[in-house]
Amino acid sequence: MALQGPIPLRYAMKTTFRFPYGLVTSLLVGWLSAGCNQGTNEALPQQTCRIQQYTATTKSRSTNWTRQTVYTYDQAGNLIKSVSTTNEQPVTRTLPTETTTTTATYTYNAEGYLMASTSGWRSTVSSPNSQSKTTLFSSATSYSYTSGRLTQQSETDTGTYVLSNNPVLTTYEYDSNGDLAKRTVGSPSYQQIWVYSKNQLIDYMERSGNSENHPFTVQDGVITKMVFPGSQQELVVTAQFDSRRRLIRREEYVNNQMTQYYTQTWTEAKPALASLPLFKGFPAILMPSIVSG
Amino acid sequence: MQLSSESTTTVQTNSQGYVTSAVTSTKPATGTDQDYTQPPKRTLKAPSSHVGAFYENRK
Repeated sequence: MALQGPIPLRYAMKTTFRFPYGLVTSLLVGWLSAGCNQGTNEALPQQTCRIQQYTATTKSRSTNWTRQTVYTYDQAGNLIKSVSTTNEQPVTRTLPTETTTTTATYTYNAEGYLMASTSGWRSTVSSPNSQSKTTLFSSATSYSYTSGRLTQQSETDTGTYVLSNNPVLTTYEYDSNGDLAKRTVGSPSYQQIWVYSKNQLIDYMERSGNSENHPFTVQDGVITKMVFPGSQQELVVTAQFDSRRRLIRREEYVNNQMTQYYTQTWTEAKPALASLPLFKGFPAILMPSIVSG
Repeated sequence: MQLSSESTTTVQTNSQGYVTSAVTSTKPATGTDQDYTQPPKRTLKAPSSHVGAFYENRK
């Protein structure tokens, strides 16, 4: 497959932080190669351009990071595997190094519906003066559909710090137009519920027994305020978006006092991960969170 | 009492508009924060009782 080389157009995006923590000078260099349709006879039924690989390096005064993700597709253009490796190497040898590998697999039926996925995460921290420690986490998810639409998924987690191997159920309900109306995660003892109207998020709630809590404020389909109560301190996070629902400002308050804020401006360039193929039968508005990483 | 930093990302895209490379540079933080102000240097002296304990252990 021919790769499309970068065109000499440049865009600049600026982000600004103001917060009571010191930042180090950093430089990040990332690039990706994307398989793109060049107008040949190649069959690319879902997307005409798909990310193949992501590589990034970040350097600061204290640490060097590298990250690489490789994506694999089947003949039909479905994503079947992604492998991400990160390495954190301190400049000072007395500090520990950390290597993390995340492997995700995706299995489809003959009709092209995603039937199962797995995710394996392995992190090893090596210190010059002590034994290395490895932490494991893995999950397996199955999917079921009704009338061609995703209606349920069941995820089972295992790993070093997983307390329960009971599967976590997610159900999807649709309105008469076929648009997603409700997404429910968990069991009746504790549920997280997202409510949608005309393909827009309109509410989020958490139910535990008979109590119901609405910790987030939703406006125009996006969450603009999140409240995280605590016994000593309350954290409030607010967010502002542009007309295209892209985050442009984020603020954090502890006990009603702002502790940090972050602003960013956007270019017209499309994020590389937006080239990942969609899963057949999935609600379109859920795609970004499900296929990320 | 306030620190700030700014990052600038320069990207390149392919003919379909997807990012193919990105370079981010972050300026060093500016401003001051009293929580991170280095305290004045002081000469530390061990309490005499610790010195005595040391000699006792050596006996």
